[in-house]
Amino acid sequence: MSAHALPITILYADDDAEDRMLVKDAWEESRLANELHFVEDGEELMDYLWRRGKHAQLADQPLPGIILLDLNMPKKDGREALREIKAEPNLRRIPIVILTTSQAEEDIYRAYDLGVNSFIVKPVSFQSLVEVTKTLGKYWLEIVELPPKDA
Amino acid sequence: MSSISQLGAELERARVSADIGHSDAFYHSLVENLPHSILHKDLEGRFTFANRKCCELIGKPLEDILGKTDFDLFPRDLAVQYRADDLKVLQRGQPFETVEQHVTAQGAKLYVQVIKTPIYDAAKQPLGLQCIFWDVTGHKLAVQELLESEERFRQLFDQAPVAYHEIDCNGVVRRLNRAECALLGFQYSEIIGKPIWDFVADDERVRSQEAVRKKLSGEQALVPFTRDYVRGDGARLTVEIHEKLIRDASGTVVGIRSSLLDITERKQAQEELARKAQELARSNAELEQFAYVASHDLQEPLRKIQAFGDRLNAKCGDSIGDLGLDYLGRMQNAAGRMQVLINDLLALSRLKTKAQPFAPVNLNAVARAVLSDLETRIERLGATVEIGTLPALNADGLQMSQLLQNLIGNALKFHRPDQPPVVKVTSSLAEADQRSCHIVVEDNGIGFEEKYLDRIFQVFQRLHGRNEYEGTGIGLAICRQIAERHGGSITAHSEPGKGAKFIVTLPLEL
Repeated sequence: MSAHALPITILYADDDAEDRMLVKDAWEESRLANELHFVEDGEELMDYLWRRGKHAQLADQPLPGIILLDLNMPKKDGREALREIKAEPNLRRIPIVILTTSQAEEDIYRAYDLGVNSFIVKPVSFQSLVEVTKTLGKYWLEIVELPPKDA
Repeated sequence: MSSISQLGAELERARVSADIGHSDAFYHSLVENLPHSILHKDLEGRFTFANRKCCELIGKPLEDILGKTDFDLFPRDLAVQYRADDLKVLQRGQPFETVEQHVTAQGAKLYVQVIKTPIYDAAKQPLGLQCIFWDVTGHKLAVQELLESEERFRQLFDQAPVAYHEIDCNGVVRRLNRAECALLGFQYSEIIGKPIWDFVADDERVRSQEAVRKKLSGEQALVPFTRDYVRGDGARLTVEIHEKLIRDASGTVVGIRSSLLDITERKQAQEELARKAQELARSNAELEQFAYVASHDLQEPLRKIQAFGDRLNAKCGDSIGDLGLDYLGRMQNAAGRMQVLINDLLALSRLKTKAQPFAPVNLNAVARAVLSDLETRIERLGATVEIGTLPALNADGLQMSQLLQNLIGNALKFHRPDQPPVVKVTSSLAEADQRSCHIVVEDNGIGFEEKYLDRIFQVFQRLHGRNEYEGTGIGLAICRQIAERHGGSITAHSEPGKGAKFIVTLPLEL
């Protein structure tokens, strides 16, 4: 792991409570030490990143190191949030991994066009989900060199 | 020398000579050289003079003509007519002009224009009459032909099964036939003399009027078009109209002749067809959309059933006991099957939503690629797959691959337990037309009863229990859709225990 002052946090945006629960369980099962935070739609995601509304108290906290993003969400969906994040110089460096049920080619093309870093289709079984989170953790938290935090 | 120039010479001589004797010669020459026949008769109808042209026409020298009558020289019926006319002239003392029939010496029938004039002596006593006549057969025949031709045209026009009308430069109907009266459902007298747009549907009247004006002035070309009319009984009619400009002898446009073809039914049928096609396209699109969306949205809860089933098994397996675990396993299993069904349905809907345009495809290459995909299965089963020479055709390459994969896959799957599968893929030209080919996939497997033939190509129809052979029953349904999308068909021959033979027929030129 990189020698950062604080360990990287991961933010997962998904409106589906069961999926949040499963990912949380899988995260624990994968024995990943990094904190996993949740937001429930695209608007809350943007509030979280801008430290607004109910996330205003996070003002002095560092931004998440990775965002796991569902595509189909109410209010503001993952595609819109993705576009906004990638258009924003302060946020565009945060790696974004799409985690969705959609296998539509259209969605895959669009996500990569908008600058997404990976596109993962939610696995069916819990065991596969654990595999995915382990792999994600190993790749993004151990192998990859992430941009240094702006202090 | 022509008679005209001879005449000119005579005239010249007459003009320069003061000798009265020359005047006789002048008249003699004039009479003898005229292209007209001149004949004199006395009161009894006896010929007293005939000029040269007349003698030629009768075909006798003058001495054989003098003193004869019409009855001696011409057929009796003509002679009677001539004599009657002669008497009329003599009685009235007036010149008389008519066209007579005549017969030449050679027997040819002629028409002659004749001017008969009474002749008097110095005491104004009638001596007889003079006939001047000339051949007008050509003119007469031409006129007659014209009349006949006009009559033929009139009959054709009037009795044609196609509705015709002619309008003048004001759009007024000047001529129309029975078929048009029948078509428009009005009496002849109700249409003739009225502007044609009186019969055009209200919403097209202005356009009709404008179009007629432009066509007459040459601003608009005459091309077939459709126009709506309203029949006498109020029914709306759609007619296809073909037009021609009518010109007078000098070439000036004086009107338009139109033929009208009732296409109301054709138009209604076309509209109906277009509406049906649109409806069908919409319903197809909806269905495809539905299958796609449903498949995606149906996946979601299934995924949850499976994932939480996993969790239940892992976290609470100990407390629910063996029976509980068995139930759980069955639930998980069912959810898994449902997932496969949905994926299959999705695959079927993708045949349309993800269809690629046709391009040249070499089926040999496609078959080789399919075999390499199936390689492990072929090895595991100890199977033999023989590929004959396959044609190249215009097709969706991915779908051709799917077609062969499903058929060869089936041939491998439904093998007899005691015998390794032998699969043959061959092709032949269709005997019927030589323009399509058969792709045949033949195996030595378990076969099936042909009474199930229709069933096996339907979605999710299976002939075996899930325990015997895996699969949802989508494969052949996909094959059928692919064959049909390519303008072809699929069928099969089989007997239980004797292998199966699947035949795909595809057109070679698309």
